[in-house]
Amino acid sequence: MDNILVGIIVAGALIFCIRSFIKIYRGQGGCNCSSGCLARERKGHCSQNQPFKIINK
Amino acid sequence: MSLAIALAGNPNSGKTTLFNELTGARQHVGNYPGVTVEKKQGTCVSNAGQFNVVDLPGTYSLTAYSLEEVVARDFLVDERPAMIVNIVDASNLERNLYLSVQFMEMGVPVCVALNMMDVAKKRGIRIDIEKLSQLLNVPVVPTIARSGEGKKKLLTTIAAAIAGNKEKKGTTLNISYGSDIDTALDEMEAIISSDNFLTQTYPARWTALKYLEKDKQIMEVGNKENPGVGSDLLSIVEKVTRHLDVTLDTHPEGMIADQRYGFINSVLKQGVVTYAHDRNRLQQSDKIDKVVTNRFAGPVIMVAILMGLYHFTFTYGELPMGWLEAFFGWLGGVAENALPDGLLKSLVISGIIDGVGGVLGFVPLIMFMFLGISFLEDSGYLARMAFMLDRVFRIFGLHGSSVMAFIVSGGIAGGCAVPGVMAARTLKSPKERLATLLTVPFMNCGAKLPVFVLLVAAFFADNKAGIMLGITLVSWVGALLVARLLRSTIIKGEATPFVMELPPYRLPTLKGLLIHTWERTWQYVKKAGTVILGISILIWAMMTFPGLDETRQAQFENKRSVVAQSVPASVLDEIQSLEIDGLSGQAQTVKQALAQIDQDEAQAGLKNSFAGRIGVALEGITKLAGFDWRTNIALVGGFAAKEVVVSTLGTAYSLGEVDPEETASLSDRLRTADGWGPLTALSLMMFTIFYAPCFVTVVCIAKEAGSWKWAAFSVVFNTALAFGLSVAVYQVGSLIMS
Repeated sequence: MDNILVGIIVAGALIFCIRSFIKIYRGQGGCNCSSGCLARERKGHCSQNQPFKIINK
Repeated sequence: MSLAIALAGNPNSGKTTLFNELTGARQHVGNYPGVTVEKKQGTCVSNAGQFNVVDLPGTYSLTAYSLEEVVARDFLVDERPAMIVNIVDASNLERNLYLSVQFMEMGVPVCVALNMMDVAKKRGIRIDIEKLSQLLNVPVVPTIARSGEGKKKLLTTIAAAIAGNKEKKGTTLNISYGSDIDTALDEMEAIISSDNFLTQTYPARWTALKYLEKDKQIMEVGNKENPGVGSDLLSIVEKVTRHLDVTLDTHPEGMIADQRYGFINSVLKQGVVTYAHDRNRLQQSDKIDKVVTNRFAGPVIMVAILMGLYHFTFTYGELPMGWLEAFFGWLGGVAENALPDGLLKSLVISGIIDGVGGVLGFVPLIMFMFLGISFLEDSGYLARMAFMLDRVFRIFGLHGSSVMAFIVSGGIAGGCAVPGVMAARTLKSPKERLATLLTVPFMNCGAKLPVFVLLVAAFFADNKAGIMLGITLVSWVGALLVARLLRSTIIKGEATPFVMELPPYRLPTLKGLLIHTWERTWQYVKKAGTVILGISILIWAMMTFPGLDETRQAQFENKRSVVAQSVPASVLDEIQSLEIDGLSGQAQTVKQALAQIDQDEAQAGLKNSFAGRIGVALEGITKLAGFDWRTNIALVGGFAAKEVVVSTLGTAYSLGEVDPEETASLSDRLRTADGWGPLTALSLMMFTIFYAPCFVTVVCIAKEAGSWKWAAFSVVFNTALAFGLSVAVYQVGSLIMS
């Protein structure tokens, strides 16, 4: 029974990781700056505010 | 009939928010520049009419330095929208109007949407809308894009202005750029007009202006159209450039920008903007900056502040970190007693509690560091740091704007390379952007922090802040030297000019600090509970299977039998019934011998696992840097996410530990483990700073650089560099210590 449970947990972790990486690769990953924010993040998910402004002359 | 209008403005001026408000779309609203590099389109149906709305990338100018500027300008020239809706941040009027002036110089129809009026009001800034409109000679409408306020009036004004423009042609703004440039402009304009040079596409004076601004795109188009005229124009540009250099120690681009700002200031000072309060704060900030950003005192203050930050982090974070470590130790003990021996128990204790717990154990330290960084950021000091570093960056072939990407990536510690890589979008030159993309991963992101903190706590307990400061400085120096190397070899090119706006100093609010700290800490915890948990479970499985074959198991069983048969049965009963302190001398010896066999079996099983085999295979090379096979597994796992280095070490040392009473923290385990010492820790820290970026960053580099070639380069080059430096540290250190 224990071994089946372990098998399910490991398989679940594997599927979760593969899904996460595919999402990141496609640029659909959620943006939380630690798990990565790509081009299509959702609103309010990235708190890395720009600390200063730059003017390009 | 649908009218084409384009939304244009500086990054962070609220363009995308207004676009969403007008079209009902749900485009992402970025809180760092460069979110909109491609143009986006939508339709707006209102009482004022139907509009085809295009959201252009945020730009600061219309000189084609960056991709955003090229996209925006090409659209204006090729598509000729009926109206440019220039979104202007009312709280930063002077800077935002710089782009507006360029639209007017180009002679395109403009309507200014004075956005973020609520923010301006909060800051005590009052703007006379009518006067501004009158002085600029374009319609100006106040808006608050976030709430949709002013939307209707904006659409009505746009419709009316478009109707008006049909009758009269839009006027072009002609600013005086000083007698030298004005004379050159007149001469160039005459040549352009007489030869009909690009006049089908651009106004003559504007083309001349772009030549003076050394706009590469226009010059290339010009050379194709008529090389002779292009060459004549260039000779005028060279002449005026030389003259300005000799007489005023400036160049045409600088002079043109200064005069544009001069024009804006002259408009604003005619009672357009009044400040209810707060003007003194700017003067106070200037006074503070004289000291804080001083060429000599500034760097000393900066190093002292960083040292203070790390000291603060370790002083206040250590105690709660101890509590959390004790909690995970206790949790491991509970699981040890509650679960029967077997795979599930091993997974829960070694894979989850010791793996993820190892990462979560650093939450208090990370939290205090984030608190300190939030204070520096909110107070305005971070901007000063960037300002000072800009001088250094130029020496190493990077653009001043790169500083932001570096700081966002973890320049002090605790950022993230992914938004750092994306922040590089704002760079004008593709070569400077590439150099930045390839070097920002060297910064100490939040994921690397637990690795450093673990090693510093284990091996440099007496000088934690000093070592952390050293790590920061090494990462900066390394990044800058690599940038110099790249800019002198494979990505050669000239630097482009830049100006940075320094916000006034302010005392951060407690609420703001707590919110920022919480947001970042929560991201760290969330990642540990999701991605790191998943990877830890997989790494546990790779470290557990296939295990030992029956023959090897039988060998260990035989050893146990030999030990057990060498003593009377009463001694074995004594071992099972009493604690080690109460055992007789003979029983203690037997118990230790059995424990050693268990330990050897666990180690053999771990070494024979899938992950163990990879680690052992790499050991032949990595031992030069002082890394054993367990460290190798951790570093390979770290490619998925850097925190995995800590969780994997936690699992590896937990699986190799068979004493159920052993609940020491990972720091304690490493301190007493074979093959570990301060030198190995230094070598590992060096490797962690420089080796391949995590998977997410690599994907991001590929997307931003537009090629997997550069992403692959980043992985291979960084790992080779990291390994070389680690070997140097370890070998030289070994020589010195021996």
